[in-house]
Amino acid sequence: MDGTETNRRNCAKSEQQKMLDSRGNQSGSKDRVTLKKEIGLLSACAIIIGNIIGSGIFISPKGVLDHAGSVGFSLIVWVLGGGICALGSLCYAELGVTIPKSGGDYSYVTEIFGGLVGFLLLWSAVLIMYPTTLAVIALTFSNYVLQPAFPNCLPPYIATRLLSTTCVLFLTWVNCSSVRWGTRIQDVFTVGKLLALVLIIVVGMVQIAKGHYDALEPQAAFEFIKDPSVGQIALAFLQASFAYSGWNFLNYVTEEVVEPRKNLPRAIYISIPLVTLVYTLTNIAYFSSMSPQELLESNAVAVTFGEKLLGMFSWVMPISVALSTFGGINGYLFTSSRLCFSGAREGHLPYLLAMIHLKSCTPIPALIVCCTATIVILCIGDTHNLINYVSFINYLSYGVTIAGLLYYRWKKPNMFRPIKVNLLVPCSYLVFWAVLLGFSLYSEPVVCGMGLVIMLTGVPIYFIGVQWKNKPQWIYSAIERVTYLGQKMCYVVFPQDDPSEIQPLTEKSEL
Amino acid sequence: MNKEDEMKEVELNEMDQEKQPMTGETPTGTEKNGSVKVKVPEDAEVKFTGLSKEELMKVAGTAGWVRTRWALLVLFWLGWVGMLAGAIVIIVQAPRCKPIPEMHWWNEGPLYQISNLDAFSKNGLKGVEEKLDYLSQMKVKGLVLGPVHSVQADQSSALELTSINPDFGSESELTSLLDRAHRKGISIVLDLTPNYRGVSSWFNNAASVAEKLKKACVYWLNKGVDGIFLSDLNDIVNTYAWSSIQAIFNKTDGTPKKALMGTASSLSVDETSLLLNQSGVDLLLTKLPYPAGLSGRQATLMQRLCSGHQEASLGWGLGQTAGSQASRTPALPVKLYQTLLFALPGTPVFSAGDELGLKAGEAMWEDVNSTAEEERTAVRNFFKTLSDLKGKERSLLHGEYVNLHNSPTSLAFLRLWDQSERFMVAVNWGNDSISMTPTNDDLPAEARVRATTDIEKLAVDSKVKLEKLELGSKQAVLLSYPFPG
Repeated sequence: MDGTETNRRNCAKSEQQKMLDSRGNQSGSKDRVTLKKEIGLLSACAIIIGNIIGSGIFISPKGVLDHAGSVGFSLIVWVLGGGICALGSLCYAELGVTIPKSGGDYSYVTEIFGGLVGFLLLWSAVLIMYPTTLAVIALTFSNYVLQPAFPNCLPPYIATRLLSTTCVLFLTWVNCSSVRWGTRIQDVFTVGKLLALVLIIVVGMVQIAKGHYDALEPQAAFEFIKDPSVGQIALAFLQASFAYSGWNFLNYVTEEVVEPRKNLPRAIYISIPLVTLVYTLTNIAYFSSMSPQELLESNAVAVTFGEKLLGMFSWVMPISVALSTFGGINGYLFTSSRLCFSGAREGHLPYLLAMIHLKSCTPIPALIVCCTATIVILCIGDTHNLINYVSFINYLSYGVTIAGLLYYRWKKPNMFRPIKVNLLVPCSYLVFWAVLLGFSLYSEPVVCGMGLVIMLTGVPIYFIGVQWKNKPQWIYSAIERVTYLGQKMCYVVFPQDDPSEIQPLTEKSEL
Repeated sequence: MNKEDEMKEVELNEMDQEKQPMTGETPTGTEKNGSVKVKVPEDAEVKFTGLSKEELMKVAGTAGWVRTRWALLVLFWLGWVGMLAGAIVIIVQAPRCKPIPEMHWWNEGPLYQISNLDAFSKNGLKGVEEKLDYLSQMKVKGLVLGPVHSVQADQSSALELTSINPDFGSESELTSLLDRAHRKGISIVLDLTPNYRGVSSWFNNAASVAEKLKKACVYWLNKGVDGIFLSDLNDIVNTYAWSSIQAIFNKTDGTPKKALMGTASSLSVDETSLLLNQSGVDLLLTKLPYPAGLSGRQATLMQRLCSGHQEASLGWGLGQTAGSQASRTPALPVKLYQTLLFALPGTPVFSAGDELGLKAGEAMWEDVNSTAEEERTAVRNFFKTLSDLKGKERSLLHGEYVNLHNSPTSLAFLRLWDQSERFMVAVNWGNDSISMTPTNDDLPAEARVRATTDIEKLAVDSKVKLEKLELGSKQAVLLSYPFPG
């Protein structure tokens, strides 16, 4: 049986090679066309929208209103937040086609600034950022699932953690089993949360039509709860950016977009204004039925909204938020495993993490590592402070990556750039980024400091693990043995199309 | 031949599609193929990529390893199902939430009574509107205004309950105040005590003005006022007209409930309790007396009311006479009273200036020397701390009242609700220090200080041993501890 299968694969391989030899350019051209049809304009838009819209829109409105100080100004923050999001997306689009490698901003930073900087981002992301984000989203999921059973008090602590763990484990298994199922879950839950938002918006518009718009009258809308200050405005934008996060996920699949030169910018110009519109309308709907005071007193805006207006259908909201967070967990597992893959391919992480299952082609070792780290965070328990570190590191990485774009423009001006954005775009983004970062450092120096410390703990790891070339033989042997064991346990191999990776390097050297 | 080529091409595409999610790289054309071949051996020498595909199939494809992987998968699912089952069991066995009692706006935070508008602001009603931001910051939920209607002392014929005395402002100013206050989440209650400038609140004959009162209630509620306040409630409650006055406030047309509030003076414990049952008012304000200070009788009154009535109907304030600022004395331990009022079940009702520790003859807004300003700021910050706690903590909002200790000069009690944080209050209004030994089933060894009048001995957020709690003269402390499982 095994022998037969081996023979069959060998035959296929040799025949494949013959085909390539005999048909030459024609064959290559056909293959290229076939693959690139995977992601058209519509799919690209779906990816961006699906990754941006998440639990943030159900939670962030309270924070934005609290810091913006008035209804009118908070709506302005939501609109401008979308604009800033678009600037970032366009910068990433240029990077995506200029440096066509998987791994998103980690790959760009590694390429532009070198291994150490890239490693630090990778280290922070894999060690803290993704596990913490996953843990928090999982906890949100379990809290909302248990809300019907515990409407007026906190659910049992252990039950919450157990439920979060089962959720993460289940989704890890799904992603290990099939890439297709992982993306299918993503699609289903994207539809789910979009429907929830549409419901909120429609009900809100009905309320406004009935004359319930006291909080939205111009005079009332701009009456400030507290005096505005630059610091408060900055914090309001930070809150909004949490809801908009995810705009950079398209870069994980840039190579698969049809005609990226045209479709990437189009997808961005269509998707982000659409999300901004949906978010702003959602907030308008919230304000049509809740006074600013009520919104500020609610811990779950959408749920409070549902209880007020949906009557016997009020259960729809907790369920929608739960499903939204479920989809979010799936999305983060998907992207974090790809990041591990990219890191391992660069030699920054053990090669085992870059290996994929022989048959299902899923990155099982990477998924297992992410899942384990998440469960560890869930067991630690204190996620509140960790979230602060995560936000800082996450925001820092955006700025570094886009700064890399400017650096590349200066260092390699003649590099081939299918998409080239106006210089004002990255400059505008960086100005905004610097202001926000400055205020973060000023108002929360300890939190930001801790974030930096966590990131910098990667420096010695880098030099020991990556730079140290002449390690003793016993270390190599131990690594080999562990890798072999992992391969047998998970039935994974290093991707077979390794030779094609050489192509980008060749192109670069030509330039 | 053609057919065979097509089949092979399909197979090739399938293989490529399998690998697509990981790299997304496109196979290269023949043009690059040569360099690809050249470089492969070089990379193979440098890179360690573990077992190759063929090697892995040979080694890991054996029955032993296959069984191992299946065993691991089974273990995973067993663990997963176990976790899920464990979570479900815990959820099912966990006690349900205690249902939250019905809350009205006057149960959600302190009320602020401005009886003497002249003392509060020279601008009357307009002046009150100008101070709404200040009141909002104090987390005040409702204002009790007035009386501000037209009347001449002891002349019932001159009583006009629907007209505003020009000394205090105009009806349009009241309307403006209402709009602004509502936008800030503050409700407005009007004091319609008829003969507020005369000897007897009700002209010694409550029945004679009952009809006017009824019409006035309807009038002001239609104007947007959120409630009506009446002093010496016992005089009007006994008249035949009371039930029809009460009916005005019991409408169930879906709008936020209007409040009927009142107070009565010089009643015994039993009389107060009876009045609360008899009148059916939404809030009965009980005033704690001074300057004589608290007494054992007052402690008994508090316990009886707290144990026997819905806390939603209870209100607590200071002073024998309604809002008489002139009777304040410098020695009044204002923080002690604030602690007590915020901790008792029910709604605290503060007179204007109580949040500042205003003394006799002092004005609210005029310039004061820096020392007095510091004192006022400290008292107000203390007030805000308590107000925040009252608004957020379930135990303080609607927790059960459990008496722990009481003597003629001191009192200690517990507020607890479901699985929320517990709160304990100890107050010593005597002239000597005391040592308490509170006892209760679930008291822990120590508790955390949340608010204190004695910063030196009981610092905020410090831990205090409960087996022997020492409290200095005129001191109060608010402690909390977590729900003991």
